[in-house]
Amino acid sequence: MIRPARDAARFAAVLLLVLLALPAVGLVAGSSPSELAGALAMPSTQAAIALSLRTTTVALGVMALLGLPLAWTISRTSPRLRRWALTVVELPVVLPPAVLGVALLETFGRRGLLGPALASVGLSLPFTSAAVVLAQVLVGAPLFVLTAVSAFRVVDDDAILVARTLGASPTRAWFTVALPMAAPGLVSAAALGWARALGEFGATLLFAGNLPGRTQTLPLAIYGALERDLAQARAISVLLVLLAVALLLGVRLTPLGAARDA
Amino acid sequence: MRYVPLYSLLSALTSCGAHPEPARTRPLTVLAAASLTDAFTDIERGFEAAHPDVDVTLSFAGSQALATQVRHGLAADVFASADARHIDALASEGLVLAPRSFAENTLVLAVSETFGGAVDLEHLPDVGSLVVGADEVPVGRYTKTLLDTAQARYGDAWRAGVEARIVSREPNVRLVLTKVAMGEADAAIVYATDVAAMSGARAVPLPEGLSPRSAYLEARLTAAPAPELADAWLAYVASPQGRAALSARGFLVGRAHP
Repeated sequence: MIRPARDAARFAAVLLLVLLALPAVGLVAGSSPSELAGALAMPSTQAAIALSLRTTTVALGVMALLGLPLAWTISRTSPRLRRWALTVVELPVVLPPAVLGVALLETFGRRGLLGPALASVGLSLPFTSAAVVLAQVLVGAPLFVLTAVSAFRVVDDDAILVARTLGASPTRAWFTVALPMAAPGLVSAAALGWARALGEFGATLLFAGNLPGRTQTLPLAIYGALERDLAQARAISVLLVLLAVALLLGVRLTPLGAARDA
Repeated sequence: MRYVPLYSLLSALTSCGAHPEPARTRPLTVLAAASLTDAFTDIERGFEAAHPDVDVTLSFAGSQALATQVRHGLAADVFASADARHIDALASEGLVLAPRSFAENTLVLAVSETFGGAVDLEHLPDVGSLVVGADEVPVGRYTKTLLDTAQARYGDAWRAGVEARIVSREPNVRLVLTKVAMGEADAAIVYATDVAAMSGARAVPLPEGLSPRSAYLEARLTAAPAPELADAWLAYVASPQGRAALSARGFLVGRAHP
């Protein structure tokens, strides 16, 4: 590359990096440790933290339980089928969260597609913590599955074959060969899926409502605090930023993550 | 000479946008509480008809969210708040000029059409689910006042029953009503004006003397880019046409406002 073009490319690259990091820096700079500590001590913050941890843990469990089999199947299926499956998986990623929220209401709401069927077995999802989890799974699972598919595609089929010829059952071969080989990518999948679930806002607000202790997650608490106490809103935002940075760094700096990026 | 075709192309392009009527070249930005959505949209139409060169932009959100935007220097001309607290705070900080009350609202029960039974405030604990505004937003504060007053009349057990039915405390009044209009919740406590605007829910008036009156105030921003247009907007809202538009959407404008 000639020099001016290379300089321009470098400048563009740095510009975007700065642009991506700047809002987080501005947020943290506008806050202070005492403000953060004060907000963390508030019962409403603690309730939201507890609820977010509980719901995202369940959501991550659901993502792993259903997402690992799906990701493995997609990674081993025909290109044609893979294309279709990935399109379905990617759909929630490109839809605005508010659309997802309305869609969830129209599907699982009292007057939704499955509402009467759910009601007949005594289930009502809107305004429950289960609704929060469902919204989180819907936005987190696509990231989880897409990342897990990439992770599984590096798994060498011959290695599994060797394990099988050595007498391992298909299940045992998968757990002892495929899973460890894909582990670094799967850790990223879990981290991305969990972080996206933690940040879910729009679909939760529409589908699950906003009740402290039951459906008010951290992002909803930020939105609520904006109406009352900017300092608290800022403090919770800083908390989420620090959490996200720690998570991303953790994934990259642990031996597993380092292996993936190498 | 090689620039001539470009110039002629540019002038051809710009003349495409020209209409027989004068272009709307003067922008006016009005920040308004979410509950004013329908009334102010009507008023915008009347104001723009009276001022053919003005392009009004309305921005609706919770009053506190709007106040936060004003504090962060959002370029706007008028702020209309659903309660005195937020706009008075801005006035004391010198960010808006002399807020004036221009309308009042009351609360009603909004009952979903999917809810079969009859219900009034006294029998509110009979509904399956109730949605209210969050304590932070004006409608939530008025709701709290209402429940406190009603508790004195109907007793502590009534209040406990109502609180047990609350399934969500929504961050703005439109979200409250949407939950009822979609049939997800049986009932909600909202502004009288909101039920008038929405299908899927019917309004049940509150007993006389219990419903708190909420005042709407508006003011010109100190840093308004178009101060004279802001004053024209305030005057239009207070004019007979503006009052008629508010009244048609269920606001109370009966009293003369100073």
